[in-house]
Amino acid sequence: MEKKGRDAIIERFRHIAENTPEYVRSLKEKGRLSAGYMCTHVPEEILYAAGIVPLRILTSHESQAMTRGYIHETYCSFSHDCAYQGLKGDYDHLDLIVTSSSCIHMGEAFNVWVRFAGFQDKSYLMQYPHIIHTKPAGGFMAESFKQFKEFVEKLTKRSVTDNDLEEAIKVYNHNRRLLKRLWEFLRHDRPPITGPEVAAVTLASQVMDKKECNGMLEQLIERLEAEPGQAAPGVRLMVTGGACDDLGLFDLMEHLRYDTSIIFIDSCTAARYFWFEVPEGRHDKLEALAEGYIGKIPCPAKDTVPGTGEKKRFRFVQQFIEDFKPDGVIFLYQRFCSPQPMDVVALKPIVDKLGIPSTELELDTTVPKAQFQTQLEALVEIIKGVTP
Amino acid sequence: MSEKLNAKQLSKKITDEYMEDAFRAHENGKLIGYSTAISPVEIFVAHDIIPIYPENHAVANLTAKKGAQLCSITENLGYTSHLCAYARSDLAYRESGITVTKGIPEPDLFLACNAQCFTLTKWFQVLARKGNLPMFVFDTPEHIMDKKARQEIVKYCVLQLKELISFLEEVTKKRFDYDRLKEVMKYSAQSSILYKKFLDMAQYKPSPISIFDALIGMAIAVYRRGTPECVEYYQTLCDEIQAKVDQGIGVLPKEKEKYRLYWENLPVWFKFSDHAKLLGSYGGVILTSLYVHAWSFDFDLDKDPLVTLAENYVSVFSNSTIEDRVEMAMELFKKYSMNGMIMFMNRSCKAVSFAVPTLKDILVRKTGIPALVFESDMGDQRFYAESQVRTRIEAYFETLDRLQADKPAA
Repeated sequence: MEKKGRDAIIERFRHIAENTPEYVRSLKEKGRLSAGYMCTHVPEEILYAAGIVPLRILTSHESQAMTRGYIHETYCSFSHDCAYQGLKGDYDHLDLIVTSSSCIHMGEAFNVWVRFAGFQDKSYLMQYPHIIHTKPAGGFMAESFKQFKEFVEKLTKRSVTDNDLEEAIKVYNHNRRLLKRLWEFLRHDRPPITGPEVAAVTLASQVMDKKECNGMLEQLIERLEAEPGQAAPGVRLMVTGGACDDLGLFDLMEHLRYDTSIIFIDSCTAARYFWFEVPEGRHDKLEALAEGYIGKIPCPAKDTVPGTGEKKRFRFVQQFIEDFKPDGVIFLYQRFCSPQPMDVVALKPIVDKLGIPSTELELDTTVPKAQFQTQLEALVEIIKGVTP
Repeated sequence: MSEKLNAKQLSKKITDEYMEDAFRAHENGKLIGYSTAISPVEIFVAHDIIPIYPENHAVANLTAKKGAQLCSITENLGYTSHLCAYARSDLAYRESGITVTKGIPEPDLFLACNAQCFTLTKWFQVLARKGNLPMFVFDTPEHIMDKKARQEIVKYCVLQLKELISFLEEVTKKRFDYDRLKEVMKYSAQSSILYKKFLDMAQYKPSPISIFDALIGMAIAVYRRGTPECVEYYQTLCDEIQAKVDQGIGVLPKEKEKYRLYWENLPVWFKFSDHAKLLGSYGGVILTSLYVHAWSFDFDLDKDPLVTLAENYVSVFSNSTIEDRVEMAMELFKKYSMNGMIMFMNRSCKAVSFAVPTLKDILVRKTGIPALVFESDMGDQRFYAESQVRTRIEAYFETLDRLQADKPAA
């Protein structure tokens, strides 16, 4: 039976998130330019202002042996899978591939696209400071964005005006606000949407033309606001960690032996993607972009509070815990990532101190569903005080 | 009059005095600054902060085969087994006190330069947070090829060095002395030239040094650069090696030196002497790597010290593009007349293992020399498969022998 209303919209979002190459092809058929990007530290607004649709390269979760000859096995499976997307040719019709200097794993995936997947002449590596909240870093970032803008202007043979940038900033900020409103539903006791559904929409937003995405989001939010929540409250689980675009894993988290709901996901494929805004109406648009991106919740690879060993992200995580009130926390990270699990060792005592039980899931090429399920059910049993 | 010390004796004397000075730092009103091995430590030296390198201490323990024991301790603390073995062994040392040396003094502050990798930054963050100590991160964006971008990168790095100086002034409540920095730079420039001269002696046939000599010889460049004793050490070392060259003394006798090899990556520390013996038995000598050249800086004393520091530290091989790394390696192949290459894929060090498969493909194509690739870990013996590596090395030399036999006589 054909789904209607909210379900149809969510299904459309999920379909796009899980079939990105098909969406890219449809853009091409409409005569649109598109650019793939490999890290959320790429200012999409600059591409959008030039009439290019930016879309994040996500993974396919297919078992494959193609990338081992190009990338060492101790690079994370997410980077292997992203590299695979380029090698298998599903994105050949992209007009550009971009990344910013961020984590070394995605740097390798980008390298594979550039050298072995035919993107040598249509690639851009953006310089991006690792220490993003110091005074020199802000200036350097604005300058780096300027060079990127010049590159994009050359590519599209058109100039990108301040008005174009302002318009793009507004479209993106609107998108961020809509996504935030969607996630805010999960704070309720009986949210009208589930965590995995919100995760699917957020993923789709990373690969869509933002105007189209905003239109669909507005319709969805309007419908959700009109309906009472139906979901069983269950045990509230919060996920925090690294990139994870495997929606099946989030589905699993809500299909355990016990009722559970995902109420927040702190990762670059979920909340960290949009949980910031770029100042609007500024005289210098690139400086405004730099200020906005500096304000992001940092990826652990870039997270340093100047002058100390402290982490900016931890403050956000604590705030999310306060706002979304999870009963349990799941630390989720890619095997072979160094920054994420190193942060877990420091973050876990903070979560422990708040009296919240937690568990760790390490992602590899294949997701061991049975093992994860046992681990997650054990976590829920601890939370619920189930005795054997 | 006392007899002039040889390089080995001098190295020991410099190291002993340095460590003694470090352990007595607080008595002498000095601070201990932990530093990453590749970082603008000249600024520390100029400000009388004693630099200590946890990486060096880790190397001592890993070379003494303490890796598996130490790494297990850190894994029990919740860290993963695929974290850098330097970091794991250091965190374990702090937990257990296990070390084959006298240990290293506790830090007062930290300087992490991410031109090497960002695990070091995270590792230092762990220590800084534990002790609630100040930490400065010197951020070096990848040294991409674009000229304009490079200018901006250097500009950004210079601004950060100014911030580093302000940071140190605040921590020590002492004004920074730029004249002293110029003096330190002079020593650093001199020792860098001599260190490079020492490494380049591998171009002679037979080579008077192997990479194993270079790895031992580089220690003083890592922890004592910017001092007159560092200059003295490399002058002595160069004189000694030159004497060997003059007498035709090689690591292997001339008639036995068949294969002059390039090495990619850090060494497998706990197999250090085994590898030298094994390769030697096949007539192979590893001459060099990009890694040992990381400390052969080219400081321009006519420039503002902060500019030349920024230019040098941002362009080290581990922060360079693949194109630059290929160019650096090709220069070594030509200069040292190498006819073999071993590419080590190091589990521990993702930064130095970055794009090694790509690098191998390009170097094989450009040189026409086959490559041996093997995987292991620089410090954790649990990831070293002895028989597999030996079989590979044997097979590789058989390939080289066959190629040499097939070569038409000149």
